[in-house]
Amino acid sequence: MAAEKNILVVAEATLGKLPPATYELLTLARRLKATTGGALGVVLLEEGDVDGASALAAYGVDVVYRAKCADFARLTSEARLPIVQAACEQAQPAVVLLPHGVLGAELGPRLAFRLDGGAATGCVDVVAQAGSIHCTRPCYGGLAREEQRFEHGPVVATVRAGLFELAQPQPGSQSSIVELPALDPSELRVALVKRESDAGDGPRLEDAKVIVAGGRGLEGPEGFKVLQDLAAELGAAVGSSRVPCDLGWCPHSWQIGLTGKTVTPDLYIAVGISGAGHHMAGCGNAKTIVAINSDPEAAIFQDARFGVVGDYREVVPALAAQVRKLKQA
Amino acid sequence: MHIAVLIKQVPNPDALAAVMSVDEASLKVVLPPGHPQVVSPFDEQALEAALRLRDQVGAAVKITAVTLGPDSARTALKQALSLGADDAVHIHDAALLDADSHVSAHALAAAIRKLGTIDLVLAGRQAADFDAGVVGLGVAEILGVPSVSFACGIEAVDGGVQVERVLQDGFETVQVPLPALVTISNELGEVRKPNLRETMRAARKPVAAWGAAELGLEASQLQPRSRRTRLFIPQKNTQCEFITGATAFEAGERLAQRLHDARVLG
Repeated sequence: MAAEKNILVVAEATLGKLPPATYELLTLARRLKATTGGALGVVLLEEGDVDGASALAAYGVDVVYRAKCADFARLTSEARLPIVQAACEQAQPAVVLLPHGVLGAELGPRLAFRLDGGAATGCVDVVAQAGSIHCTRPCYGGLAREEQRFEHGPVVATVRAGLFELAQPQPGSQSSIVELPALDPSELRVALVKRESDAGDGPRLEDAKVIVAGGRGLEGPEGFKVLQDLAAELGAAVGSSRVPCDLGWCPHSWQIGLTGKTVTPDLYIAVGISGAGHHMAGCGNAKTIVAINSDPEAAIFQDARFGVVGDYREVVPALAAQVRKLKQA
Repeated sequence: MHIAVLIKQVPNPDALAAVMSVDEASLKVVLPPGHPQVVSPFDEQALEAALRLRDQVGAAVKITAVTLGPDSARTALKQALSLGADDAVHIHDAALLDADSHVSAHALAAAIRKLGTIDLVLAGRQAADFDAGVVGLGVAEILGVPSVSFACGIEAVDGGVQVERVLQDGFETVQVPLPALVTISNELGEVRKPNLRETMRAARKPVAAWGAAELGLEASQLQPRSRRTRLFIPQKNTQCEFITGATAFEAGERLAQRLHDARVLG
């Protein structure tokens, strides 16, 4: 059953450029392909007048299933479903990989049921072994992990960001391009009325090398001002655990955790964050975690490399001032 | 308008960290006796969304709570009834106790079909035990209805519902005709509490119990797609180095120096 060894990655190119998540998925996909011996395909959605497909050839992609669509970023996930389904009918994948974001979290499960396959969401690993697919994923708010075995494919897996290296080009690789039929907008039932962004200036949380994040221990919205001063010194993005978002202390888009963003900075400074599994599921893969908390028993210290027990209102401004001095020295 | 709300009973996710362990042999979570079982918080919000629609549209909105689970899950339905659901359905069958998301979605979809004309299905964005967010969307796919996920607001409009939903960097508003399925996120906000009068009434409201046979589930629908092969608590091996000082201010300054020396400031 050669057809069931194939691996398919779902990708979207904006202005011909693919997001880092795609290159991470390509690393995972190439590893799966090395085990199954199948072909690696990419379903690529891109604007009509640019070409992201040819760049994929260099990354060991055998077939690019391309759907051209003007302004696809404004489409809902419903619109993407028939496109990816059409690619799956041609590619006959054993595994379909999508980034675990708002889009993938809706598209992935629907696709799995449409293909009569299995779904695994928020995966941290996907392995092909002895003819079956094994997915590892956090559960219980990040406190535990489960491994699931799928014996009947296809398996549609959404994969968390920041866990795999970015794929590097492979010399001498070539890919063919299959054009998918254009989308028929008249079939769409979910209509977009409006969209608004609440992302601020500065680096995006998903891309930031340094993140300063605050939790319930900030005790109010003004705490984020203190964090922003430190973030400015460090060139950092500011994030939050769930409670401050729920309480309206900061924009909801700042939320890091199981039900927010997954981030993988080099340095993560957690201020007034208790370190519940729900939150750590979103930042546990940061290279270095620094915890500042007035509660010496806070669980965050079990995940932190460096810690200060004390009032953040004193610790954080002192940290910011000293960072400034060190930069000037 | 007839709304079905899908709810799941889970171990209370608050303060789980301190008490939860895992039996790796049986692949089950072990909790101390008496740890409360609750309606999964996102599902509470799904029920709240249904109640807000009734507040908006009026008494013509009928709400049926549907759950799949063991004997104890009846309590979750009673809670839904005490909050204002009109009817409750308990899918209850030994063959479905360890159902994966594939089997669960088919059982729930079959129950919704059996209920007759359902205009809107609401579910939490994910259950607070396995955090998968698969079953609700699977139900939409099986029923062949459009879905909108991560909703933080919903209101009835001409011919359907208007849904505000959460994006990674903001919000969007979409309209969808009925029937449809909408999954609700925590951003919906505060949920109402049961009041005494409704709790008394709820005690008298019946809970229908349906098994796999009554739902007409076929063998292929009862065939799981996945099996849990391992459940474990990841080991942490980070050793925290505490930075101290005579004052919190001094500790902050020393922290900067230590991070600088450790070359983590970039």
